[in-house]
Amino acid sequence: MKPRIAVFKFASCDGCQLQFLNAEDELLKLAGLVDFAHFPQIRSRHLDGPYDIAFVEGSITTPDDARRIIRVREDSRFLVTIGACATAGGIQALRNWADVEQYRSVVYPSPEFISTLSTSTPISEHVRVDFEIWGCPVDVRELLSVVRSLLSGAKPVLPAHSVCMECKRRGNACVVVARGEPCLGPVTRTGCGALCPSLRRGCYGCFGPADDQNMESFTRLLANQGIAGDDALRRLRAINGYVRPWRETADAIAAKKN
Amino acid sequence: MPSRRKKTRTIEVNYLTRVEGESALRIRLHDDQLADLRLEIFEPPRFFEALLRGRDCREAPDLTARICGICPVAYQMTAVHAFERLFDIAIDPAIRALRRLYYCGEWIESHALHVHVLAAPDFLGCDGVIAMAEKHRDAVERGLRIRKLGNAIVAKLGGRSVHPVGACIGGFTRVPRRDELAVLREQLLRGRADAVECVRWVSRFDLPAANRDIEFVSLRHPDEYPMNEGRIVSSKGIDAPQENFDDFFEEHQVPYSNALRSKVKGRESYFLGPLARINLNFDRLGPDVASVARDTGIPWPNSNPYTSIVARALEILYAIDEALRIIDAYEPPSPSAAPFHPRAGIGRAITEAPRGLLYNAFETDERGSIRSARIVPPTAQNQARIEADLRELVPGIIQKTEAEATHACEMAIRNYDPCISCSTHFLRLETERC
Amino acid sequence: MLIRIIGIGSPFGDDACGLEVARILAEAPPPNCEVIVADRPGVSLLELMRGIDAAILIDAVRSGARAGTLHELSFDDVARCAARFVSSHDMGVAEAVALARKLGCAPERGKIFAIEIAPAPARRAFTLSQTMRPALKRALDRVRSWAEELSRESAVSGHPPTA
Repeated sequence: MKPRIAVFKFASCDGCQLQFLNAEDELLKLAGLVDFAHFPQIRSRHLDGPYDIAFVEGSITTPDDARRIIRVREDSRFLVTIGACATAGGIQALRNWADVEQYRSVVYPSPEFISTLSTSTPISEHVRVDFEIWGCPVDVRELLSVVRSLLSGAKPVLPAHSVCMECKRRGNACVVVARGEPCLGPVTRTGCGALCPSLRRGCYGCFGPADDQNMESFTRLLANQGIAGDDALRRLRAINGYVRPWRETADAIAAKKN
Repeated sequence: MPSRRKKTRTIEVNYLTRVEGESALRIRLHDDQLADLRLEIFEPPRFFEALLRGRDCREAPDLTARICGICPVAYQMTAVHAFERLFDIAIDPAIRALRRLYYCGEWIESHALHVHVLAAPDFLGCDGVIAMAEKHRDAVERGLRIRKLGNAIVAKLGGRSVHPVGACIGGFTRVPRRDELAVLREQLLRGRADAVECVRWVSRFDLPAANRDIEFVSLRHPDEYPMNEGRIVSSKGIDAPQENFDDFFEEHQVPYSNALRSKVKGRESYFLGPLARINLNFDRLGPDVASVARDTGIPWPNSNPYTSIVARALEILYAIDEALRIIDAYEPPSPSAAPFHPRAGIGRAITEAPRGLLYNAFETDERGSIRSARIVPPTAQNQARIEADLRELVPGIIQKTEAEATHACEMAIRNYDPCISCSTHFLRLETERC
Repeated sequence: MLIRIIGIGSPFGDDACGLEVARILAEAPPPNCEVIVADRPGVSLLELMRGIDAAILIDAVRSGARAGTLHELSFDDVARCAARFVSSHDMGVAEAVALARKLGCAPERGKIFAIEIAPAPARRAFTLSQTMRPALKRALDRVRSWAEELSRESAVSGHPPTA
């Protein structure tokens, strides 16, 4: 009996579940090993749960979705969140610092027709999550590595050290040291392959906080580069800005500013 | 089968599949006449236009990419163009060529996704690409190969295909060397053969006939097939510079949808996307692609939305040819990005995302901080046209079973390759049968 | 004196043999030894080599030798050796050892026991092929024997052995 896989979408751009399709040849191999019981993006047929593994993309931003994720959790033996929206609330979590009423009226002339929560929150704030794959988007190889582990009955393991290690492995000249570019690499989780420094720009933290980060030291590093106040705030309050270590550091900077 | 004694009947699809994002369709019939039709977009809004306020203009490519995982390049580049217009930055022709290459990659990847994963299953009686692979393995593998090629082009310039990095105001943070681009050549040549085969394959599908009164809208450029430059043109007489978008099109909100809906001022819905582009720019395809287009036996231009799948396949072929031209002529620009000084004002730009015109208007202060943002995605603009098509479709499906009627509606919607996540600042078709 | 025995690997097929050796040793560790089962440790391998007097690393390897061959290298050998350990893990054993030495946080004494595995199709996690059994036994014997030798040297000299 093939394992039953389900893929669910909440508030998101679709990029993380698209990585299943970006697995290219691996997709057909995977399709031979599992039953995609629920994956509306690629198939019309839907099978009810229970599901062996559920992949969840997207954050919770509406009352309906807050109810729906509970049903998803009940229907799933192993729940994996994929991507920054699901693990961190995503870029739309920027609303958490703003007045969402103001947001709603900026975009929609008749905001009363739009049902939304004032926050965008990660899945883990609503239900128990069994494994998280970070990234915006998740890296295809990491996604496949997790799937492979789970299908073998093993616990998935993904590295959580900082991007700096990856840069060194690729032989990149450090953009901070060599070019004075602001870069979140020292505090950002690896997984992308150090894409940004390889393209001569600083990391902007799309994989979320690394395990071994030192925010105090990093804030000083930024300040030495002339990045403080609003500038520093913007860099931390971005795609993964709602995750605790970054959120707290940003909030502290904001408090000092005022 | 519907009972003739009851007067009211509704058709419901709670969650449209093989369409990006979350939406629903509700059709209500009264005495076998259409009483109400609603394309309900319940994709949660993420409020990009609001969250961009207060951000620095230089952050725009990283942030706006997140509007869509399938077409991030279009969002990045349209924003970048808007700022470049406002800050009056001259762009090196080699940078311009690289940007066109970027679009080639994204069109190839996005169109191949639509053709093979989202739409083709309908024509082959399969529920999705996995089932399709059992009976049509070669076609599926070809489709995945074409996608891989598109992704490779985007990743070559931007590191990865979803939310690539590297594009910036003024150019790119790093430009490839000539030899780095040249490695794509072989893959492109093989892709060309695949693309020709793909056109032949889709043009042999049993495409429903339709002839609608449609206003097609796209960009048009004096020398090239439109991707990231050109004037706005339409099949009903619009011919205007990009900056005048608001003179011709307006958005309004409806209670049942999280996406704003658009119409031509003084007229009705309009149609964006590959079919619009080909209809309005057939003479820019180049003789090779034009020849393949004519060989399909489909007249160009035409007003049958069901030929959209062929239009997409033709654009894949065009993009591959264009990519080859660009790579062969490429000389790396230096610097990789032009320096600039922000200024206060409003910058407006349009590019052709895979699904059609994407309009951006950004207002900045003198430091380049964004004061307001307006992003009008193609699928949002197409919403009204999708509903118009469905209204015209309904009389023909009244007598069908629920399953057949639903399927016909879904196919009509898929002609537009909607990207619902983009259009919300997926389709649930609700039918009540009595 | 603290000797750390680190079994390295991943759950997939024979790639788990280093983990299995460590698991067996963990049931009855040799004197002065701490045993770690390191499933896909990545860069944390560096951390595992800090603050100890000697390290014994056990891992799977594919170098083209006959499956079941037990390779034995000192840390010096690894530093000199041009050949690379084939590792699909993000930081391989050889890299970790080399880096730890450069950073001055590697223990004075160290050995790597590498068991040659054959490429095999993916299996159920933690299922080793039968042909691995003799190699595992040899590895266990050698690890125990070298650990005991280290302990004896240290006991005799009254302090941890030097390189």
